[in-house]
Amino acid sequence: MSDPSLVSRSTVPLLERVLGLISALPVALIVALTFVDVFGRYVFSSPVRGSVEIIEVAMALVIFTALPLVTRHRQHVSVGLFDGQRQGLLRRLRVTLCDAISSLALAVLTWRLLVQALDDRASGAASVVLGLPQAPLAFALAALAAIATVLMLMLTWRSATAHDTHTGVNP
Amino acid sequence: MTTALFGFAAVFVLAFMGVPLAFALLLCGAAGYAYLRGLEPALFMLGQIVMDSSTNYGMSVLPMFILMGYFVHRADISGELFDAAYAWLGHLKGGLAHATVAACGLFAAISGSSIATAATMTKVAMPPMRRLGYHDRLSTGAVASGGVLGVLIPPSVPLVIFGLITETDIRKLFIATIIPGILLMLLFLGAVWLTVAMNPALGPRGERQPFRQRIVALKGVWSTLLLFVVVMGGLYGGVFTATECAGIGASGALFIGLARRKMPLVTLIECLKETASTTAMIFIIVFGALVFANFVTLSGLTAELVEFIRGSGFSVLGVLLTMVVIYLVLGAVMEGMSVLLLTAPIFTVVAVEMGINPIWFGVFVVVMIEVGMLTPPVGMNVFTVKSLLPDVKLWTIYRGVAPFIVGNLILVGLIIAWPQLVLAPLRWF
Repeated sequence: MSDPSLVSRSTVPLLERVLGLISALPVALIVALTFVDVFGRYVFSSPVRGSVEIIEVAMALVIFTALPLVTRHRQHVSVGLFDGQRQGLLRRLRVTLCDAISSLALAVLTWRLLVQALDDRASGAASVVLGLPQAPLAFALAALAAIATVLMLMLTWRSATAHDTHTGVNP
Repeated sequence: MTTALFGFAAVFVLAFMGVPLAFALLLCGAAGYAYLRGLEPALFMLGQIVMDSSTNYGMSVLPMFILMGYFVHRADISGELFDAAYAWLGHLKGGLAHATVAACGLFAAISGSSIATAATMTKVAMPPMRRLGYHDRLSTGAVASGGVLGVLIPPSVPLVIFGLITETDIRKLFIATIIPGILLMLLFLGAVWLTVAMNPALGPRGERQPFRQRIVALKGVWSTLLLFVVVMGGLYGGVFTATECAGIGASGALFIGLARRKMPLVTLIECLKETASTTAMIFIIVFGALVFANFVTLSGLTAELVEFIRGSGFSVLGVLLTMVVIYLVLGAVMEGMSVLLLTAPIFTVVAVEMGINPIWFGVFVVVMIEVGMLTPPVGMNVFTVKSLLPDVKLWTIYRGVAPFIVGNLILVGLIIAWPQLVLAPLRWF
């Protein structure tokens, strides 16, 4: 594992495809449930039971399954006034520092989600209508955030070793 | 107050260095909170905000409107929209530029993305305008500016984001933009008219089409217009909530795509994936913005700001004009979404304290965001058009959008002078 980019060549593309497909599911679920709910309410006057809670879980999954992808493709919104800066040691230092700070932020996020998950497991917190336990969701979010953190660390490594010094892209 | 100012300075330094805005806000917000209250409460606050705002039913309105936009985009209706607008407006002086503005307005409204509109319409409207000898300044100005109409005309994604982070009623925000939206469209058409009136060579007339032909041209766009009418009508009429309206909109756009045979399974999945990524991109900044806003509130900056404004005898107009200047500066150097998320939570509190209606304020903010998408050096819409037309000088496009920026600023003046332009429709629905 002396060069993380070697690992990335085989594992990361597969991971991206899987996460991409998984991220599509909760989006479809949210729209389908909302659509059925509207018809259920106005046509049959019986909304789907617990649809609000399912949509809440799906929302969190949409955000966090796509987080590693957005991170990996450097799609986070950046101000990017310096995008035109030429190659050079100064640029490489700047990009590496930025990447390291991004990794730190993602690591903090992962850590706090994990703490949240452990708290939820201890308290046995669950949703009101369907009784969905909250801990598994929080653990899943923490795991996905952890994947994003690892990917960001790999990008940091690349910037430091100048394999890839492309800065943030604006959407 | 000083702590908060240091916080802002830190965010700007990190952001301009190249750290994604979301992370800059998240770290500075948490660090500032920790400085004021201790590390443990700060970390707890961060976890709570992330968890609460990601598992929030109300937030689901955002991915659905984004998905609607991707579906509409893939349904490939931009060509028909342009043809229909051309049939009705093409015979005017600078007719193709008028048609471009109108088609951009419609496309941007339903697709919700100003940048996607600029990109799509560049491909659709630039070739015919070049064929008729339109000057690049007029044609690129129209495609770059037309897209920002969608930031104001509902369903607008930036307006939804404003509603979500300031807890302002999204339905009311959509109602409040009816008159400003129409006015801005007219102001943009006026900008084209004035440009051509001063120099007719910039944009010659197209062919006048008989009435029958105009009706025929609408055939290609009736489903899109119907979707717009159902979604917005349902919302205005109080039949749907904003979330339901988004769900109906996304499903309807999918049906249009399917009916037009533009939506094979691969494309459908692609749309869903892109929606997830865009949603994640926005929410990460929302987390950062909320954490940072919590720190700023704790620091007492907002309260002190209000007190300072009151003590110094600043009028409401003075405050608004100051905000206009701040938005012009930020909009010049930053991308729109960042400006919105950075300013809205704090400015809205100040505005409400000053007795400004939050709904009116939301409309004011998005109009200022639009200006920022067009002003140099960082005008995202201008960049988008430039990237698709490498042979046109960036400066030419910036000159082209200038009359439209003036149009936007006139609208700001109008809604400040007559707030009822924004607020009156709230009583009608």
